[in-house]
Amino acid sequence: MTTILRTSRWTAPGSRALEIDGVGIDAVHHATDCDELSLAMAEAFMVGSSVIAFGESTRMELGNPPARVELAVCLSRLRAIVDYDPGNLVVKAQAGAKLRDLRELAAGDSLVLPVGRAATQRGTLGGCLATNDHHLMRSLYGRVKDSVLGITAALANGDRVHFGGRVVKNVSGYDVGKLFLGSLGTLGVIIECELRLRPAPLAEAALLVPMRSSEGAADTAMRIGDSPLAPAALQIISASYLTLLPRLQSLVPYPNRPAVLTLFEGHGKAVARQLGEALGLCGDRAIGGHLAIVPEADHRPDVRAKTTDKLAQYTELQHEYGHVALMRELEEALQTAKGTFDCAAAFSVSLSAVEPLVALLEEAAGDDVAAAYRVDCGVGTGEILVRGRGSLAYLRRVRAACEAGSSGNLTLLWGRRALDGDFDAWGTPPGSFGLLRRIKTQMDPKNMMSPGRHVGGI
Amino acid sequence: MIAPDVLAELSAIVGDEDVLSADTQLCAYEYDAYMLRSARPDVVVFVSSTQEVASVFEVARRRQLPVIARGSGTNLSGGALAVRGGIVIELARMNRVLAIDLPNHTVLVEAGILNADVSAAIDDLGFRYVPDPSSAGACTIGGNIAEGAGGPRCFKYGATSNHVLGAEVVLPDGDVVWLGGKGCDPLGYDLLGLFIGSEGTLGICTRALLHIMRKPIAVRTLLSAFESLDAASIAVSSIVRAGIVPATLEMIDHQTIQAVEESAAAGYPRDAAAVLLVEVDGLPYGLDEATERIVAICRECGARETRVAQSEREREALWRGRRGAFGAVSRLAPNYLVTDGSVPPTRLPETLRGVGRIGEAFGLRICNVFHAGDGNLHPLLLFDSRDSEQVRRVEQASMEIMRLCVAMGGTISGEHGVGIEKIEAMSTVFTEPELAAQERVRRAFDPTGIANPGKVLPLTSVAR
Repeated sequence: MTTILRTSRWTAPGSRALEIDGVGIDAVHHATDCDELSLAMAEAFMVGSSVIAFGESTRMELGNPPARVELAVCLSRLRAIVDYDPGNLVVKAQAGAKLRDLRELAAGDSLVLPVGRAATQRGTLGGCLATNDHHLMRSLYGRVKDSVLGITAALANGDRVHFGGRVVKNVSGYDVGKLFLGSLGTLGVIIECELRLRPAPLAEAALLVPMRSSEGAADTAMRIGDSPLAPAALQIISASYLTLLPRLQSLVPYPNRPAVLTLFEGHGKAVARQLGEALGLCGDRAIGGHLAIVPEADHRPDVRAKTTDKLAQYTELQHEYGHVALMRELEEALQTAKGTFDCAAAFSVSLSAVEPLVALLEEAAGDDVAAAYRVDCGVGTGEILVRGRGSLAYLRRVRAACEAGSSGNLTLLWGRRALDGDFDAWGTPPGSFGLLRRIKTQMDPKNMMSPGRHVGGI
Repeated sequence: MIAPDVLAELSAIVGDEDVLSADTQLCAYEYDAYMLRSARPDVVVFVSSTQEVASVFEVARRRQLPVIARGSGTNLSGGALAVRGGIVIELARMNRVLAIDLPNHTVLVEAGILNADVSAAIDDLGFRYVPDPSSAGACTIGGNIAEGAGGPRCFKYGATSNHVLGAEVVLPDGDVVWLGGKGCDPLGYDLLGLFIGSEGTLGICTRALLHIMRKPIAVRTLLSAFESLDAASIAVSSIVRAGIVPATLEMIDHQTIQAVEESAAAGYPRDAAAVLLVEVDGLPYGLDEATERIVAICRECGARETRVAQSEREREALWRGRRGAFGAVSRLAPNYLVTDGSVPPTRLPETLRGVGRIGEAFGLRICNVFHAGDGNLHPLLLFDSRDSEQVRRVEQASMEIMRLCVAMGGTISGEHGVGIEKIEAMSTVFTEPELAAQERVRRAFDPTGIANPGKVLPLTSVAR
């Protein structure tokens, strides 16, 4: 270690030293220049020390604890917007650029940054990519990988490599950049990225309908998902989860019930009509009444076809709360929850597994465990928050259901130490695990890069 | 020449009748749709199951023989050519739809199924498989996955990588693995994302789980005619910038219009320098307003006329012209080479001017018909393959066009793959460490180098 500390690129950690699972790092490289970062990585490679990358440390709890903690590369100062090209809907930025800043930049040209729910916090672009932090409106904007056009990374030996580019269609060579997405720094350090931006919608609106039961909420959400409507997001929000969205909860007619939240974006006419049609699909599973969050006071849901529906008689129109505030509350809920819940997990299942899973989420909760959940029924993902002595057993049971039939998984987001027993962050490795390990070995032969954090201890 | 005992082993796997080794049989497999090269395999094996593919790989690995997957042979970059001899695995018989799962919006298919047959199988159910290469009626899903195929609709909906959820892959060591799956967030590195577009060099896809979408309820199709390629290109950027996302945004130039009208009578104005074929789709609400906005933008950019199709018949005629464009160009010369560079859409005007200059410099006629919204060019270089001097000029001009696309901030291939055609141009896009990293990835899948060797990656220090 002294070898590293003798070079000017590595310094002893300061007072805000990074700790991973209570173990401090030996030295930090504060990257301000891509070439210097590569040289620092090459130095680490020479001595074979492990390297962990971090930015604003908002998602460092993801994954398993690293097998070794020695050196860290800090990317928060590597934050330049390298090239902003609104005409081609592309932005190239360094890994330390804050999602919040990128989102504001794009909004100035009526464009949308289609990744990262951490955008309202301190989250960085690099962290977003390394942890696959998808946009809340995934049904519309897709996954992180659908918006990343190019990635520049420093490999374990310091080599700087760039894959992809600034164009939407690109099949030149292997799409190696995709391997870095969600890789938690185990293949190298992401240092720059080209992202595809999307045009901002002409109108956006949301519909929140309190339901009689979680079963009814799941049934309704699946009906909306199966309809020709094209929601930007389609979510079930459990009654407990609603408490993490205090402003929204204060506006809902029945704030202690599970609800279906549907977001629409597009042409104003299409948005209004879809709000009305989505409302019609709620039927008598809804308790009666709804909240429509619309951009303007006169922009009410077009419910012409549903005038006899009692849902329409209890319309709460909200344009002052608005779409931005709603998104912000949703994006921040996982952080807000840290005060009230012990542990958070994310899951991914096939769409047909959503309804049985929601039933299990309700049934498995009891005296010794409280759970809150949000399910994105457009894509089959969601998050669960738990507290209480029974949290570990609850998560194990839910994970087993997610993994049944090899269709899904449950991963830990934060709070592993609060669990009373072993719980791997990832669960059962996929059938392709042998290949994953071979990729890791080829890209990181000395097993230096965040060793042990990823699936199966990669 | 392949050893008789190898033939015997292959025959034991698939049966005598499904092993072709006579010259008269093999000559049908020495070409794909890349017109500049041919290469004869040593043997062609027709497979009908994943297990057979795995067994053939096992033989190939022991004998160190190259293995090349082939579906319909529509590859435009020479990817299906057996440039180092070896075994061609013909997957065309693995063409079944295995399961239609509407609740999960997926279909499970065998890799040899034709792209158009997937959509045909779910058409009555109101669904479609979105990626739509022009060769959809002939190309296979396995080939689409190998190449990362695109098509006109990719502008709004994305290309193959956005619509394949999982792939059963036979690795070169004979192991069978599933990459991806039903859940949308599989654990681990994105091996499926890596595999799509790897051109058969990492293994062979035998089954695929495809995401299907509801057919749009409403569609509006319009054709806009321009006096110059520049004006049409500016209209493309303006539409993109206006926040409208058409399903398709295609451009067809003057020379191609002539050929199309001769062969298909699509109703394109013969005297236009270029036409844009634009389609918006989705829910009916607001679609007319989007169409009007596009018409207005085209007018502002100098379109001399814009026609919105008033009937399905008229719409079909407009698309018949676009879909038949490559075929129509065949009327102009005995052969053509399709190049496939991709540039940021705002760079289209200068790129197209550059392509024109390259055509003049090398004395070649060039037609343009391409996915303008994505900036994915398809200059068609016309030539006569019997004239070796013309062939040489075509190769040089093709390389110049690729360099031009890279200089414009783009890349050498948008959807047709590198194959052998663009392998020399890879060094214009990638540095030595970048090529070496790709070679290492290849080794993770194929340590002995038998899967479609000689494609995609030029020799690097790692490979050497």
